Amino acid sequence: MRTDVNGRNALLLAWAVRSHADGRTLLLEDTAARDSARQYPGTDEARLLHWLVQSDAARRLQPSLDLARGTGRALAFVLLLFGALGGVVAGASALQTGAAGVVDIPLAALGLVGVQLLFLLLWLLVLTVAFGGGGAGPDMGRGWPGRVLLFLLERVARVLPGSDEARKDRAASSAAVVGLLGQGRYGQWLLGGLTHSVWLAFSLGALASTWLLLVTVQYDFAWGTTLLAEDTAAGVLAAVAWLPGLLGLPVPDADMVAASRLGAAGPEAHRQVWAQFLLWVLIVYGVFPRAVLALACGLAARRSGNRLRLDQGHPLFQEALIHLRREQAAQAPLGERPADVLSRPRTAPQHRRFGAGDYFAMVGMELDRDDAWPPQGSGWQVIPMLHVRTRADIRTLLSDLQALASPPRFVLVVASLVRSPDRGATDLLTDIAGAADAPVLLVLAEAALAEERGVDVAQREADWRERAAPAGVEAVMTADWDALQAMPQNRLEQCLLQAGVA
Amino acid sequence: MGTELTSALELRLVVAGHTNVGKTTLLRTLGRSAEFGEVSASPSTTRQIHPLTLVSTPELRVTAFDTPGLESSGRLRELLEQETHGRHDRPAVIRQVLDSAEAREHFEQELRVLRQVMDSDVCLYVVDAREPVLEKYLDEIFVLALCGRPVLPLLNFTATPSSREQQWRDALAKLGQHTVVSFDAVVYSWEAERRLYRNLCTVHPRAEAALEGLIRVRGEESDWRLRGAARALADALIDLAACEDTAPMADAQAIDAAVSRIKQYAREREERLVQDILRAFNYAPEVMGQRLHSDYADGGWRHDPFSEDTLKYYGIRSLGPIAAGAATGGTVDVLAGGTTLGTGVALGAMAGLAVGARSAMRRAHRKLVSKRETLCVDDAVIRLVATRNLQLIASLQSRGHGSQQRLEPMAPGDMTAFRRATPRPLLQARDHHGWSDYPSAPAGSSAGREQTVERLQQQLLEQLRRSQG
Repeated sequence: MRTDVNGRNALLLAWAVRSHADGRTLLLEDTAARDSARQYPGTDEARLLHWLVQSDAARRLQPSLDLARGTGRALAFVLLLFGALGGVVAGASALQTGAAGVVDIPLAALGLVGVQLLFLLLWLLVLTVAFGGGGAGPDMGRGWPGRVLLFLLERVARVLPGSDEARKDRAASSAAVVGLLGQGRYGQWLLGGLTHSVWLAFSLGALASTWLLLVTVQYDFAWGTTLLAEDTAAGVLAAVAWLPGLLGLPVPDADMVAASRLGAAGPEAHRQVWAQFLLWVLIVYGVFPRAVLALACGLAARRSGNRLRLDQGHPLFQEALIHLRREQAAQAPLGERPADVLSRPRTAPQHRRFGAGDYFAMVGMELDRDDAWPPQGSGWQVIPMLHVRTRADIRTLLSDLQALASPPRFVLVVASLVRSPDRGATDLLTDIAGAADAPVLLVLAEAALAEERGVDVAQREADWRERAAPAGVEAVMTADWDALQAMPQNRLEQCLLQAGVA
Repeated sequence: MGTELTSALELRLVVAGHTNVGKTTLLRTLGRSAEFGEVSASPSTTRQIHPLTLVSTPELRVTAFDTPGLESSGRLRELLEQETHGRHDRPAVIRQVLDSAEAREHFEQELRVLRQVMDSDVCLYVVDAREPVLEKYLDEIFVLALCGRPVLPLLNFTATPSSREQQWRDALAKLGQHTVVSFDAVVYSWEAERRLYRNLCTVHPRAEAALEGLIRVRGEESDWRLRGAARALADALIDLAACEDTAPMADAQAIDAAVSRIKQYAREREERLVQDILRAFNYAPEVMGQRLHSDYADGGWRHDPFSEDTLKYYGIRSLGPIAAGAATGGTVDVLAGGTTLGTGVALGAMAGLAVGARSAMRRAHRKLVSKRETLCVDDAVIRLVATRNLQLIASLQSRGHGSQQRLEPMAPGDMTAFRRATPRPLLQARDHHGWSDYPSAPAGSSAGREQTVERLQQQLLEQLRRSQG
């Protein structure tokens, strides 16, 4: 497999698969590649790319991707060739700007570097707008260059022979090339690099033809103006010569300029200096800036290309991620499953008879409302005991229960449906039954509060009933605070009687 | 495993707490997995240690461990206090206790938790902040702290009105636990999750690199989720805007049949859309779909998109029988059960007129030459689909994966899509019948569609981000 997980080729493949008419089937139904991706250590992106490069889709699409890229490269080469040829023609034309054998210096300079400097200015302007104003410059993916490229690639894909499947593959690959170029600023830098390279080829072509002609043919150099003042025209030439002069290159001085005026001493004067001047103008204003910019754009494109990421937001890859993550959630638990906590309760006392006392004892257990304790029942013969919330409370409670002169008829324990019946609670119920030596009636209160918290109250009540029985509780009932206070004592006892307490 | 991390970028995080405080719920949310573990109102639902990989790359591996609930910490504390009294190397004593037969018999569940805490780097102690500060919870923190690992209390369910967050913070401060993090596993926020990881850095500075890595990965995932959902919505809206059908003008039955086809397509396309949105948020649609939203049942929205009542419910003004091409008087819109049939009106100042010109001419040609009516989905219906699914995305953004609650619809008028004008990508889609996957649609340029979907996706993302402030 030529693709590697982190390479641009893998991203290109991802674009091709998502653009392919059968992309979903090609990727998601390749279970072998999916299983391999599940084992692959890495981020979601790395695992998705691994899935892609290992899939049959990669093997199927690679030839058409190579073709699309090859077509793109061929187009770029043709453009470079045209640029170079254009330069050769421009160079030759620049030396034919005056009368026979006489080169018009300003026109020659304009022909060699004027147009490309204008385009360079435009490019800089677009770049400033794109980066400074947040707008988009020419975009190889989404803008007109992208559309042109896509049009050309699609035409190539269509005219080539092959089956329907091959055409689908080529269409997806064309879309992938254009799509990838549209990511971030990658395409923009690439387009910038290409245009500067074309102009570089133009300048080099022009340099070559100009140099060749200047070596083999004798030209005289002159300048003239009809509309401008002489000083102004001479000033323009001096301005063009300023930068080469700054770089220490041979440039004509004021006397040479004056001597080359049409109708002056003669256009043949200082022909070697003027020839060198033209060549250096081409290098300084054409070759050098384009070479630097082509290199800079190439480096920027490479940097942007390295930052390209897989678009995990695409529905196909979102669906693929679901398949990958299922495995993650399904890890086996550690250690053996413990025995059911309910199967090993502490030995709980059973009290099938009411206690000898003529009162009952009342205990609160971790209620939310501790300010209302104890409930005030009418006609109750009750000894209200603690509302238990701490270990110290438990010790005091058990001690108080044991200290009672005679066991109460029963113990009423009020617990909250907000809390689940944990082992601490069931242990406490067992301890209460033992210490009081009397049957225990468990009242589950605060159902409304539990509901408010989203507790499944029916399930919570069932859990309490299930755990209370082995903990020594004889009967369980639910009642809110007011209902409990309104309940006569015999109704409470009735509950225990119904549970078989005599 | 000891106090040293196995490598600079590996972290084992144990989640402990009383039974039914939402440990598994928390891990579902942190792990973005609604299927992890088992959640119920009954105690001891989690009976074993369940590992959950939060991130696993060659450079970084963070694993969380779900543990059984602590149920009998008071007695265990008394036992451990007795054993560790006057001893400085408490973890060594705890290891001895873990091996004793007596302790194993009485505290099997608790000892499993302590063993896992000692095998991990840091412990997250989960508190149900709605609970009163009971001694048994404080005992649990005490017992966990004896294991010699950093313990970070996490207050869960803090977004509810009955939260006792401040009481808990005061009580924990008295125990010396000044670093406490609030994180509601049901009402999710990425900011809160990031704060949680930063607080873990505070209590366990050596794990900073791993936690920073986790924050980075999670941040990227959060962004991808939103982009994925917005992309799915943009995809569906382009499909709906581009789809059209035709029928002979003189054949009322054929028109009715075409209306039915296009309505059926729109309903099914929206169902697929919801599935894609759920996938983007890492919910398995077949599981989550059943308990998604109070307006959602059997894989679809209860309120039919072609009902005027639904439009009113979502605060969308019916635009009447207009759509691209109506200027020619030749378009029949699929709205309100076909009640607008035959009432094509001039479009006037509709923004998309210029863009839709090609489409309008095609339709006019059909009407005048082929004597066929063109049917498409009305802008109001597309706005409805956009609005309620934007609301769904926004709701899922703030829903923890551990939540068991159904989502509720937003108030009418909230997050209404395309309030000012129909977006340009949708107007362009009107011109490209081939961009829809409607059964009779011709093949269209996938690249052109792709670019249009991306532009619409950006607009939807902007609206979602604006709504989140």
